[in-house]
Amino acid sequence: MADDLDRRLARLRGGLRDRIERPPAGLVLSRARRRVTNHRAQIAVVAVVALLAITVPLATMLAGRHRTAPAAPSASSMPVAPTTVTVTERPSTSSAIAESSPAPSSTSSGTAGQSAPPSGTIPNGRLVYAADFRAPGHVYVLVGTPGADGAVTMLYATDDAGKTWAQHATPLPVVTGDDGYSADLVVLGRDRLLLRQPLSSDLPWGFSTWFSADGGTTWSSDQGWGEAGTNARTASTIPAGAVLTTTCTVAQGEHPDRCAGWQFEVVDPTDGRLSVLTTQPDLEPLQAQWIEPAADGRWWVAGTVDGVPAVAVTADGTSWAVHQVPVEGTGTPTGVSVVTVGSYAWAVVRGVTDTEKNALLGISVSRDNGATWSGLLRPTPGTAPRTVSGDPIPDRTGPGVIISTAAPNDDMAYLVRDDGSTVAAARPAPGWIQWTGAGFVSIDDATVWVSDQASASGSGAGFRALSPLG
Amino acid sequence: MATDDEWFAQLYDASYPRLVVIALAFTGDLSEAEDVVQEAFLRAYARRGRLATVHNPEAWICTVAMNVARRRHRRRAMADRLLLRRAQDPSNGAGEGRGRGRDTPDPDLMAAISALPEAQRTVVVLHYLADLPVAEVAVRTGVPEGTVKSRLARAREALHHELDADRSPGVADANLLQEADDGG
Repeated sequence: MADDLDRRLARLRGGLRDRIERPPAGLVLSRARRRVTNHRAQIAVVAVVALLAITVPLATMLAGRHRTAPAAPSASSMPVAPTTVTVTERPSTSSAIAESSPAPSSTSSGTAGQSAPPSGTIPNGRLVYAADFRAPGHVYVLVGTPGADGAVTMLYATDDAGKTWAQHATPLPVVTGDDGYSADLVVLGRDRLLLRQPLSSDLPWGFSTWFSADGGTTWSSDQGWGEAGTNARTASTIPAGAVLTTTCTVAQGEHPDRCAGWQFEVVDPTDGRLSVLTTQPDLEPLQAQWIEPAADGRWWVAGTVDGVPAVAVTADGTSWAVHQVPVEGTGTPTGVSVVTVGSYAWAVVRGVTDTEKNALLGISVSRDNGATWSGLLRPTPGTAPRTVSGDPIPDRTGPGVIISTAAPNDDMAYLVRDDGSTVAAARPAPGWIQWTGAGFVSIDDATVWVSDQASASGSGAGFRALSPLG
Repeated sequence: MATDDEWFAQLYDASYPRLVVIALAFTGDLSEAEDVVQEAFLRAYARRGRLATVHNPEAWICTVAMNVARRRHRRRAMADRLLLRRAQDPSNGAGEGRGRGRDTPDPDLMAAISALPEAQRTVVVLHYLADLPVAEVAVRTGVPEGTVKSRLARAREALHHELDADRSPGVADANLLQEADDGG
């Protein structure tokens, strides 16, 4: 029986509906089309202005050189025309990994919450922005190519370690300057791969995905992949070849653009679909992009236990062992990268501090296959390394672990040994290094650096340069 | 492209009134709520290809609209601070004067709803004004149905109190509280 309040609420509902002035759909569509058109025009203007800004001084400089014959500028100092396609800063999922501008948060193999480095441009306008492999020499790369109406993404694939490349169209949407490259790629087997495109930069959940079982020739799509709380499929075990990811369990109450909690899900290598892992580790998961099996074949995931960074490990998803990897000092942990070599496992904890977006919060080591852990390195203010970029690489000769720093235009790396001593080291590869489950990959402008080694030695980490764009 | 536009127009026609009502709970002003929702649709149009693949496009646009409303509120609050206006000055800001904008029906009730804590206001607007079932309110707010019901019950109590209505909780309040206690 409705009381007075119900009657008033009903009247209010009806009254509001009556008073709402709804512009005709045609008018809204017209405004929307105009805005899109104007936006494209603005992009074109920016491109022209940028071109003029480059060519006019260049012409002046060349004219001046003609008169005075000064030394020619070095190639590295020559300006490069920017493309009109930008990389959007997104909260959680982008895997854009070329160099130059700010950076979405991303995670890679067995890790969580890492802020990926910036994407930018390459001299011919094409941009390599994602790469992955699961078999030596068999590498897939996403390349964005700007055009008049936005940038299309092509898939480049090599079966012979970069000697030859095949190109395939992708179903990824055309990228405009408003969006930026935000798709990512994960290889699930020799010819099986998955493309993932966030539905919105405003939300921490929801993707469009496309799966291919024939190396990118044909694709099938899955809608609404990973939307908060919508996946009903479950998996009791992690099948061989699978990768894990985190999805948002529910949007956060009054702030649906934030996530209230994460859970681990299995990406089925046979069809690219998601299943909620039945047995979740007993920790509070940190958001992760792709979690590949480590070199020891197990899956390491990251989270917190009572606010303390922790890792959990499983061989098949049916049971987990959880270990805290404490850090000292301030900073909010955003992810833990675990790499293994022999009986050693290294956990590199990163996070956000008042001054660093990709701060190194600490390193822990296990010398007994991950059964017990001890703190090894606790960064102190003013002492390098303070930041961490991408995944670490274990050094089997140390033993130790090599971490690259995340400071802009900084090619530093450090070898942290088993006794906690730290020495500067050569950076294994330029760009953002990611573990793929079969080795490491990094992107530097138009070049993809690939190593099919799971660890480094005195002779390096075995990176080779592949150039899909010639 | 024409198909995309037709689909988008249908979505607009079907969702616009409900979204404006929801936005009203955050803006407190009908005209601004309309403006916020139109802005959300304009932004959504640029991504209509992706939007068509979303499980619930209306919820997606609703989130965008809420983000727009919050950003505007923050900007206005900042401007108010810069201009040294008093936060409680009834002549400006998003919070004050809620529900008393253009031709708002039953302004007392609307003002009482606007004065509720955000969690309660959200469920009241979604359930009673936007006419969404409790289950969908739970999905949209990311809380269990039992929590939605208990918030609704407490909100009704607060509204009764604010409106100086009959203080004996109505049948609906009692049912909601009982269902919430039962776990929803």
